[in-house]
Amino acid sequence: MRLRLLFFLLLIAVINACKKDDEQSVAPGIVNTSLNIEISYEVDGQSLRFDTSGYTCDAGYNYSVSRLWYYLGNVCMIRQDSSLELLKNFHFADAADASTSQIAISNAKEESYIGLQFLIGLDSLHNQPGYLPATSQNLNMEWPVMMGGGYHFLKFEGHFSDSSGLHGFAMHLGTNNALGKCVIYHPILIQSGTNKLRLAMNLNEWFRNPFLYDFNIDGNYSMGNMAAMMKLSQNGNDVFIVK
Amino acid sequence: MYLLIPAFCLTFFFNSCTRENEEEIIANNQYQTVPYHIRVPSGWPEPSIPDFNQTTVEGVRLGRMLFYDPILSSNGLTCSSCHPQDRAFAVPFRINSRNEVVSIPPIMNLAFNPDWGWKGQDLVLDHLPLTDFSPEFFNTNMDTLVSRIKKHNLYPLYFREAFGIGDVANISHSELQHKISYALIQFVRTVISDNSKFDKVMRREAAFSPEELSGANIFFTEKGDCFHCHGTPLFTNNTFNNTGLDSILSGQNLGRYLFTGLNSDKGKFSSPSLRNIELTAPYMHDSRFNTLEEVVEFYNSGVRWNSPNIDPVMTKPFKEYGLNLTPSEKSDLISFLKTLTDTSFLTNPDYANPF
Ligand code: HEC
Ligand code: HEC
Repeated sequence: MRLRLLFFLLLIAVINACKKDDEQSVAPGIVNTSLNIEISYEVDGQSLRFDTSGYTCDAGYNYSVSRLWYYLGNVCMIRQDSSLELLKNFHFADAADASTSQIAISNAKEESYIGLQFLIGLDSLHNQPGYLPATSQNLNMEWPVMMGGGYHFLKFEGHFSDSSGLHGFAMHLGTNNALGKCVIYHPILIQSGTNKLRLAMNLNEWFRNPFLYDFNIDGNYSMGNMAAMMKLSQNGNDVFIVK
Repeated sequence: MYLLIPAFCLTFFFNSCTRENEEEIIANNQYQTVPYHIRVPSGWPEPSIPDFNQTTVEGVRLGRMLFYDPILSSNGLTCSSCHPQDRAFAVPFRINSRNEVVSIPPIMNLAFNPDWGWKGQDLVLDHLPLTDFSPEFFNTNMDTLVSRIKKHNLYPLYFREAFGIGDVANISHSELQHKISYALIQFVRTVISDNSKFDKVMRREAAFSPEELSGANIFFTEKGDCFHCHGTPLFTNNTFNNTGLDSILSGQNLGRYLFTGLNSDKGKFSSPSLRNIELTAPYMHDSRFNTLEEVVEFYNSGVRWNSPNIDPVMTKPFKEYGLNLTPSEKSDLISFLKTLTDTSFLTNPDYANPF
């Protein structure tokens, strides 16, 4: 009786161990297919360094960056038939914190995709007061309930100079209307083993296309300024490229 | 697969053997601690507690006693001299060795923060009290401290129960200081303030007065814009910011730069929690403002736009001429700040002087 119980317990242990392996790490003998999306930051080819001036936006101002926090939402691969495969519901990134520059997908499928797409921000399901786990990162992105609740999608802050001197800028995005979407068509072949995908955000694209964004005309401060937020969120649709 | 089973059995047995041995060791030293579970108020982040100093019932008990005991110092000072409970664990300020006024921060909710001190200079909370043994603070004589602990009717037992230390004379002074520091911080991590009127309103147990509500509207919207740095639930975003207190920076006003050496950190300070702010005057790292009225007037009209590294959030276009709050809006904002006072925290017996 005792032996049988022991055997039974062991069986459960073994079964559980296998299950866990499938979900997380590499089981011996089985090659796990994983995908690591690595995000880097640049300004028209120069790699991003915080609080360093020397970047120029299309409106002609010299600027520096002091903060870049944002969410990627509903990160999906695009299959050959244009259907989507969801990889991750949301990912918080702080460009100054390397640990947030990796999106690790442990159970990727071997497939040939035609691209990927994601939101810059959170879909309306996730964009609700207190919806995300209460980590410091998520709490710092909260959008006060007094102004509708949910989360900031983006906090992009820094300083710029014009003929009258040095000024601050803060490009904040939030509210479901200002949700941006990046669709990148780029063949991506996922093979067995570890796969890497390199994404780069070009910060100047926030100020470039389709709208030339001029701090002095459109506002160096997007909060409470729906017109500015709408321009930014549309400009955001092509800030990322696959490298 | 079948080979796996005996292997599993083997590891199972090995494990059970080592566990028995451990128990023996513990029994010999009478050293077995009970984990202390730090309460996490709903919607708060998980506390960050390092493996080397897990919170235990025994450690918290020892730490609480040491917090209030002049035994640690040669000048009669205790932690509670500067951090008394009835003032949210903060007397106004101290003068440092360079003759600068340093505002004493309250001790509350520190388990939920990632860095400590006005400049974020304390990266490991568990090591923070080590500096208190210095001549500038407790001026501790370690030999005296060892003999005082040995003679005490409770400490030998408490040190053994918390850390398995049979005799404090048998460990180095440095190790003793570390263990004292660990115990103090175990206690500090249990000190939580989450029962202010604001919290009760959030829990729908109370309602804001019209003035408080108007103040909350200023605080949490672009009008006052306080939430960007003092966000809920901790009322700090744990970021470092220059709010533009001075246009020319020198001495301790250089802020975080003095710790990191980065020019981009000049003038930046840790954004403090505003919980219990009514009780912790005077304000700012150097205690320059005596009242909340003065603080609000600073944000309303005193921000120095030309301060180096001023936070972009402080220089919104419409802030050019200040927040433009009316006198009644200013007093509403202060009424709201006062809803962050948690009186039950000030008298919570778990945090009180055990002597
Ligand atoms: C003479 C006054 C004084 C005494 C005594 C004192 N402190 Fe402090 N404490 C301060 C000051 C001043 C600061 C802020 C220092 C800074 O950041 O520059 C501080 C900061 C702290 C902080 C960090 C708070 C935060 O929000 O970052 C903790 C924790 C702390 N003290 C715990 C203790 C403990 C434990 C003791 C007893 C060993 C103690 N203090 C004794 C004056 C004192
Ligand atoms: C850009 C970030 C930022 C914003 C916005 C901001 N604060 Fe602060 N606040 C800070 C920092 C940083 C300090 C500490 C400054 C120092 O000591 O030099 C501080 C200090 C304070 C203090 C004193 C705290 C203490 O313990 O001494 C009060 C009160 C305060 N702020 C209230 C407000 C109010 C009210 C608003 C909105 C009108 C506001 N803050 C907006 C960052 C900010």
